[in-house]
Amino acid sequence: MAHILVIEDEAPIRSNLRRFLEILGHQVFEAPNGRVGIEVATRELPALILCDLMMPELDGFGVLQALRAQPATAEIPLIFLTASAEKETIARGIELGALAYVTKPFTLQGLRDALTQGLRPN
Amino acid sequence: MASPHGHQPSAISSAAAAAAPAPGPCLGAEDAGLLQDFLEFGQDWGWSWQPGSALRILGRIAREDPLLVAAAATLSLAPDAAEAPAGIDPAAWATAAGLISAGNSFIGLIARLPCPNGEIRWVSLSGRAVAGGYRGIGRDITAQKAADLKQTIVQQAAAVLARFDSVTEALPVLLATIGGLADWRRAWSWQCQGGQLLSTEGWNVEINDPAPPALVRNAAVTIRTLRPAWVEDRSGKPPYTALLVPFGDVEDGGAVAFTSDDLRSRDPTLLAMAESVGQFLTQAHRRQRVEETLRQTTAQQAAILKSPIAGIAFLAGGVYQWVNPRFASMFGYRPEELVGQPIALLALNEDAIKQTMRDFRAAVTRGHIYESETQMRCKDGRPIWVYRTAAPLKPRDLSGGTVWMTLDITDRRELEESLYTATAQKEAILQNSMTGIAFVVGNTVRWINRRGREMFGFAQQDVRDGDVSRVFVTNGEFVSAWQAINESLAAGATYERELKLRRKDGTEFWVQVSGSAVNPQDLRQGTVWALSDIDARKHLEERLSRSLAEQEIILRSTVVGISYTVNRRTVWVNQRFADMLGFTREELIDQSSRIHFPSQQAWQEFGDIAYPQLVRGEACSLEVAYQHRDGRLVWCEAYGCAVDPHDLSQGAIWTIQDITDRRAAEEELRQALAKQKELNELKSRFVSMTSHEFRTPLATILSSAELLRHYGDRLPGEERAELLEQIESGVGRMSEMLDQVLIIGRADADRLEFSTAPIDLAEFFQRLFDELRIKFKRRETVPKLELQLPPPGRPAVLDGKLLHHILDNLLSNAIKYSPNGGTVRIVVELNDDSALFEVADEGIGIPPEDIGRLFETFYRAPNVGNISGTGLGLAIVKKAVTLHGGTVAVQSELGRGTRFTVKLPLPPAATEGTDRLPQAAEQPPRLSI
Repeated sequence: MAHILVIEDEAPIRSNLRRFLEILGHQVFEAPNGRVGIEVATRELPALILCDLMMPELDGFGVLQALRAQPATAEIPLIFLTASAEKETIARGIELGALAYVTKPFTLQGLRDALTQGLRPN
Repeated sequence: MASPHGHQPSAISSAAAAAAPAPGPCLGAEDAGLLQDFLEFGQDWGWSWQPGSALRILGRIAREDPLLVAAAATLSLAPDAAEAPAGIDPAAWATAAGLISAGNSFIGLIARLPCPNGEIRWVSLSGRAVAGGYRGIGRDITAQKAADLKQTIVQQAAAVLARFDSVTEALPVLLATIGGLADWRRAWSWQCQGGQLLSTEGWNVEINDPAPPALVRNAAVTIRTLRPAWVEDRSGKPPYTALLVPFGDVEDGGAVAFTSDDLRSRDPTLLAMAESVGQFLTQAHRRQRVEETLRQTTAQQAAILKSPIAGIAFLAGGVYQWVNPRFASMFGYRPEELVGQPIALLALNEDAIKQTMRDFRAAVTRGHIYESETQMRCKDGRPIWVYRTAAPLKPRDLSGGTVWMTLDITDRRELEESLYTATAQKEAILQNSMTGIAFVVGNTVRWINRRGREMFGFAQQDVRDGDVSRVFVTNGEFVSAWQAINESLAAGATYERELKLRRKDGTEFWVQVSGSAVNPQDLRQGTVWALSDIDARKHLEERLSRSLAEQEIILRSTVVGISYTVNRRTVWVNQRFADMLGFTREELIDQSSRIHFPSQQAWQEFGDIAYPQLVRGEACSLEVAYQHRDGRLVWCEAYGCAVDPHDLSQGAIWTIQDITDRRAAEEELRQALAKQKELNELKSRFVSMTSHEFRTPLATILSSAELLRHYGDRLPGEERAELLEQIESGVGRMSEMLDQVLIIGRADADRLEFSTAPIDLAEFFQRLFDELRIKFKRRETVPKLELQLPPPGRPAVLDGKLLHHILDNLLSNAIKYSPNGGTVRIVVELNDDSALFEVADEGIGIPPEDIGRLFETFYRAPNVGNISGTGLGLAIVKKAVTLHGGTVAVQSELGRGTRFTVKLPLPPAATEGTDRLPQAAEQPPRLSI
């Protein structure tokens, strides 16, 4: 049971992620874009963040950079959800400090594996 | 020195003092009225004073002059007071107090009253004792007092200054006088030397307390400006106004300052007066300085030693014992550098010293004054010419020392020498000139130089007094030429001609002759002739013109354009050059080459690039756009080289070749490459868009399906329904996108079909609205759709599929980008030759800078935010409209809404009858969803 923040602009995907995570027993915060995502992350300090990459206003890279820039949120593990399968995009995310990435469309099993990795105690 | 206030005790009238105490007058009603009027309208006012209270002023003034009232209130008139009241002269007060104590009246007691604002008022009071106090008549005499004082200051200053020659003597008296006369409270003076303000030391001024620092600073400024000035210092203790009077100048001068506590006494006449006092002080000061200087030397010495021309040296034992500044500076030394030096220092050499001493001794022995012009050496080694006289201090005795007077005559010597050289040279020039020169009187040669003789092959004896006609080829030629020559010379003009003349041996040659009369009014005084043998040049010219003619033919017939320019002016062009640029040769020749350049700047730039290369002797090859006479640009390759790189004034040769076709081919290739690049970019944008736009609904579909499969039994019914709906809408979104991609793909490949048929607009929109309703059914806020159709009867002959693409996309956009609902208005109009579709929403609008790119494939304005889209809709609209041959226009205001207007042409109305469709309603239908 952990606090998990989902930042995703696509409402159906966001609600499906919430459903699944709640079924797994986690408490879920939702944010419909990067800007709100940073606010919620700063306020709630979740144990893990699932973040879409391509979003209007502020994309996933921007969110990650902003979170890494403030001490309170710098250490929160972040997993990218990406509709892009391009290697450069993924490499850049990892370089910026993302823990892992999950490409869309994703399977629930694949998501669960990534979560396990993210929530493993250090 | 006068009393500090400057009153004269005589101000109190002793006559009045002697008068008996006046009995209380009995006033009739008329008199009382008169008195009332007197106080109301006169300059005088009434006053009363009671012990222990202030002096009270009555009448009009009491109302109109609050300053005076306030000032008067400070005055106490108690006669038994130990000291005179402040502001009243003690002597005057003693007299008045005596009168008052004796119960007598007093007249004209003058009091100086300081006002609260710093102003000083003078009043004259007359009165008598009544019932323990006094009352009487008063008058404000400030203005009169000021005028009197001014008058007195000028008179006294003039009197004082007239009495003294030296400013040192006059100044203390002047200060005391002026200080005593006016209402000045203090006076200071400063001396100034070399710009440095000195103390008051040396000036016998009575006041010794230090001047306020602000005043000292201002004095320094005044001395620099040399203008008298008022200075005010309200922060000073006490506050003061000062009048500063400068004299002399900053090198040697000073200033005098008078201060007053009347902060308002800035009288312009006083300033003017100060200026004349200052001028006087300046003159007196300067005179004194000169006198002091002169006093230190004897008149004789001063006159000699200050002589600015003669250098004076005193010599003894072969050593300079003393020199004046002029002597030293003549040789570039300072006087102290020469004193003690041997005479050899300034001598040219040992021989010169020996020669000088020999001559000097000889002169002295004979009792003559020694005098010579000789050269001496300056400090920098340069010799100068000097004129010297010398004499022993004791007659005929060199042992007591000698005095030398020296003048620098270098300039004179140089002038003389150049004059001599010039005279000698003139003859040489005339004789050796490369030009033949002859002096002719009548038609007889009086003198001819060597060159002239050589030219004609005459010996010297042949020429003298020879007849001019001998050099002409025939006598007839001589006669006609001589007539023309005489006419021209008599008119005062120079005769200039190229003539064919004859040598002694009979050969003929070309001579350029130019002659002018010594005196045009009288030709008998003779004529002067300059003669040049131009035979060689003439022959060369003839040859040149022949060869030029040949070259011209060659150059004219080449296929390249050739031009010869000098200083960027066209001197010559071949026909080809002119043809290439559409000019005639005549239009180009003798014009600036600017005329075949498109702009001044282009012309300038061409020169800036080309000419540095030409100067370096390099050939210059440039691609340049010339301007054809008809205005179009002609791209040419220009190849230029200088005739003589060391002398560009000899011009440059340019050959040009028209490369417009080559340029056009290159340009085409460049554009094709750019187009290719653009297509590649488009492709990559397409791939990344499709990747994102397909993977996103796929993610929804897959996750919804998995949730249903694994956890469907745990989820409530409505959640399950929602998941199913998400799957459906995801699939819908994907197929819609596929459709759009296919349409765009077909359109790009020009494979979009276009076939028109009559369309029932009411039915068309009914179906479209149904589709939209399904498409947006999950949306919370959907704008109201209002449709306005034209009256039925006329069918719209258009491509139904394309029209569907157009309106589906426009309406979907209108709904999508109206997050706050509002109304979407659709207006359709059918005109004779066109159909108009207008879709106006109240949505988020489009930024003005993005409107231009709106119809590009995949372009989306940055304000779309979370609203999903492919960036294909409007591109499809544009394609569909273009296929109809129509137009689409956008008007938008950010935050207010957007209006798309599509205009599609209709086939001619002639077909109208056959295409008429039955209509359900007669009224224009209005539909809404």
